[in-house]
Amino acid sequence: MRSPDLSVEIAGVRFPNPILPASGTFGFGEEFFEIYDLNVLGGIVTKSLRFNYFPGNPQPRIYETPCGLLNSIGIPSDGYEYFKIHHLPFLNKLSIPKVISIAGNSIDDYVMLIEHLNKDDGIDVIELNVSCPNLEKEGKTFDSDKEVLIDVVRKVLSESSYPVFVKLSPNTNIIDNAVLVEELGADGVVIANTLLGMAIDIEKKIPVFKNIFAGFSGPCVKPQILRLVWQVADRVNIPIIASGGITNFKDAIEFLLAGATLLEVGTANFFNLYTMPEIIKGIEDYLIRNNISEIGKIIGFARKENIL
Amino acid sequence: MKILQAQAQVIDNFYIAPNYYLIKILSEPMIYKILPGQFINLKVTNTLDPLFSRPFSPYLLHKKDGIIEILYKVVGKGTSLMKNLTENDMIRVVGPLGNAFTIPEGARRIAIVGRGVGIAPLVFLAQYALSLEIEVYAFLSSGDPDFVVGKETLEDLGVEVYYTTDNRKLVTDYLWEFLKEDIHIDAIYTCGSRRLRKEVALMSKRYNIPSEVSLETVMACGVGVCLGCTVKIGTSSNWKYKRVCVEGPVFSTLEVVD
Repeated sequence: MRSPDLSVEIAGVRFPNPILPASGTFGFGEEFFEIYDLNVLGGIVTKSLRFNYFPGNPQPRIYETPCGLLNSIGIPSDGYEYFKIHHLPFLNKLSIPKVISIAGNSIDDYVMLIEHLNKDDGIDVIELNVSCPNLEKEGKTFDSDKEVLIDVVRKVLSESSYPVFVKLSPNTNIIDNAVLVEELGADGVVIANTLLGMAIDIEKKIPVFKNIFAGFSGPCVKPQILRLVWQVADRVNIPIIASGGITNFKDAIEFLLAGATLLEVGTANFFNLYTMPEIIKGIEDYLIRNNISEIGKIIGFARKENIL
Repeated sequence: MKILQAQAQVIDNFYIAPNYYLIKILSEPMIYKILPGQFINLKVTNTLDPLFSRPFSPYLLHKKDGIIEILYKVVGKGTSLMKNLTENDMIRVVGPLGNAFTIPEGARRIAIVGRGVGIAPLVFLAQYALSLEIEVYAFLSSGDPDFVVGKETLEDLGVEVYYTTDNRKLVTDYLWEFLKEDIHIDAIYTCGSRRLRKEVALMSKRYNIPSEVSLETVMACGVGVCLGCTVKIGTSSNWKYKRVCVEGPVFSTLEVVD
């Protein structure tokens, strides 16, 4: 059998395969370029970019749990001007789709960033991170308030000359939010950002992290996020980009069968630098073994309507 | 491609003192390009708990046999499992990672100042400096009266070793005496103690001697993408977060902001 077709298309952007890094686990690609050729990937999703420089959170920032990771990095960013000079030329050397993740402290931050990114070359998709704190609303995340979510998504969609994926937090009513962003016209929905967790230092008898709660990710969250992808797929028709604990090709296939079109690999990049190339190879072998000519045929295949 | 992820074979792994072990591994030639100050990541099990690799600096490097010796202290889940590794076990190694100590051009004599397991990277530095015919003085501190990391190894290498196992004393007092007596030192290197690092920074300022510290932090990725290992670098009024795994682990003692 000839090689199966692993490519998928969303909003006119063709991804050579469905495996991308999750935002914040891959920088802007330069570091991993020292390790393997990034052009083997389905695309790249950058660290969330802010319009202005932001240092991020103080230490401690990370905490290992059994099969998982708590993080409180705080989305540090060197800002747009630095990105344009230092990261964008590198990204433009890659032949794969470039997804620029954006974050802000206010809706104006997002709009300003989009206005600038619109003038740049080589960007394929915007991933709108709405799970960061909105400093105009006491630090509540943008997707924790329906009206704020509508406002930010609507403004970014109307400004952006690129397709927009909206990355949602699982710590809100993510299913309703997914329906909402589809209604507003988003091109895809990312399920999901990190769960919230915490840890307590039993010697100091205080929370480990200064912000108390931290993002929880890694192989241990996969069953929960798989369930969310399944539920969201019941309710929306726009493509779902799954992100949550994908560690090997079997996880990847599960998410595809549940209805995801693209897959983002995050924490697993940290402990096996070759996780993504290995998953791509694993998907290809799986399709060959199952005599499936193109990946599109398994997307959503495990859903109830397929079960006789 | 400057960073390699490969398999390494355990050659030996044994107890040397309470909580201290030494592992010898054999891997691919690229790993042996490692320089003092740089580190490697070891994934000590092929399971998902513990999830991440652990960073280690070589203790000694035997380029001819391709063997890296790592002296480690059992402190948590990763190192507790690591001590159970036996000959011929295969583990995953990533490296070389981070930056290296810089030795000033024409240096004739350097000092190393370390405490506990933080002495390990300094022993590798001493081995390297001696190979360049640079004289090394070692100032070692230990909380254990019966065991000072690196003492015997350094003495075997021909290094003059000064040490203390008394927590009320600072081993840097010996080095202050040297400097007061005008004994020429071209650079000072430290690891393993915030207190010693601050003393070394003072020496740097007073005698205008360059000094570097190798910082130890918790890490997840080791390659600069997770941003978990950042430290404040600069001055107390003008600093930036830098990654210990990429911009470090070696920094000037004068630029670390507490």
